[in-house]
Amino acid sequence: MAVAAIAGLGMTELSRRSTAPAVDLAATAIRLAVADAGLELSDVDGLLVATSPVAPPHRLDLTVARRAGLTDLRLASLIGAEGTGALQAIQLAALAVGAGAARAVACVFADTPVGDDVGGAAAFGQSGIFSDDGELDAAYGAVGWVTAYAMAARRYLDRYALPDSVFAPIAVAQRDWARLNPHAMVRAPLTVEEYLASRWVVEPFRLLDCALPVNGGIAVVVVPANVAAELRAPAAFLVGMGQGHPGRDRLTALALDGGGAAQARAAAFGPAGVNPDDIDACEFYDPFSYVTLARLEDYGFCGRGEGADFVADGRLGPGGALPTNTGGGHLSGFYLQGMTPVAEAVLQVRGQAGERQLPRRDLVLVTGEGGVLDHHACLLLSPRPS
Amino acid sequence: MTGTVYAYAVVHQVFRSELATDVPYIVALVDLDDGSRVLTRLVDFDAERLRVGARVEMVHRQIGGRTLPVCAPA
Repeated sequence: MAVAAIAGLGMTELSRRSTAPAVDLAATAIRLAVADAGLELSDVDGLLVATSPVAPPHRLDLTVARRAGLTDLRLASLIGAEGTGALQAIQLAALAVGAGAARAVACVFADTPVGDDVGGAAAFGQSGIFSDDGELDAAYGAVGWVTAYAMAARRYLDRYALPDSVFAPIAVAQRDWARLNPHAMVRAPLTVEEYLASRWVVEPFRLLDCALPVNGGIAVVVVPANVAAELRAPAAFLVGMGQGHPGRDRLTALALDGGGAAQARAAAFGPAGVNPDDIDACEFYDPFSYVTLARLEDYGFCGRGEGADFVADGRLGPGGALPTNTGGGHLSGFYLQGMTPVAEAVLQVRGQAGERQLPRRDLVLVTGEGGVLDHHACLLLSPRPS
Repeated sequence: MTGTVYAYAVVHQVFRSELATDVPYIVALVDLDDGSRVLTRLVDFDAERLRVGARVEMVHRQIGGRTLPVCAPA
């Protein structure tokens, strides 16, 4: 039985160009989410801000409360948890409203990684991924989050003797979904041949295996389940949630055993009595195509090493048996870290996904990733409280 | 010193202007026979030999004006 629900969703315009500062985008997203829930700003007494690991420390801080018009809060904090911050904020908000520590908690993420002169490679090309000081990374040219994920993907491909083309159906399926999503950044048709012709970024990843970073902000409002049932807007009830943090460094995080996913899955699925067969759709945090393949295996939708066969027949795309990343995901939709899969799941569960609305959306899995397959968080969302 | 390739990736993207003349280059994690795992580059590999599990030998090369330990096929 869910104790909490997402009752409102707010999303700013998304852009690959320079925009207003992240703190202003966050404030706008909060106002939109509160209005969407049918609440007043004065009803909100909690604020959890998920911060971006690639942003400078003061890009987004608690001054967002004042800018959004939130006052007299009983709960206000920044959640810094690599890419899992958005999902963790929602989980902590659910715990807070369940314990009576707050009545309505706004959870927000906003980031401005790209701009008129800053593309995705520059925005996410940091040093310090493999070594603490980053000096060795820079010397060898082992920079960029894509490089670490590419190493994991290469280990996977070599372990199961697979070609790099196994990622093609994932990119194509997500583009097929993006074509139905007015918020998606890229909506042109995509064939496997066009995917294969896209340039290498870091092998085994082509450009079309990589997320599309945008500037923007997304907020949700978390309320107690009994309150959600009485609000005007339909709710997405939190019927399961979990986290896992093995605490590995990047030299040991590429073990291909799922990192924190096993622990998160057990916490979310176990008490709710959920099996993979019960899941109607998946909204994965998929900064790179391989992550979707890995999580399908880690969550038990198929066996280890079977992901390539599992996705090959269009199973993840429109009309497929396991609709996945139904707004285009990070690859063709937009990359706003954990809020990308959260927003899509909320729209689907509430029946507000327009042309791409799934007929069956009783149980939707949402995941969050952080620190290269180390930190992990997940949510199970449903239109019903149990 | 010899070791075994644990993971590798071929970098084509120019993340820093000083790396423009290096691309494509191969960054790797190598398990050395002394039990340590190190970040390095792989050099002198052809596509056929390049795989996780390949045996390597540490050599020294100039990278970005510095002499650094890298790994070549053993």
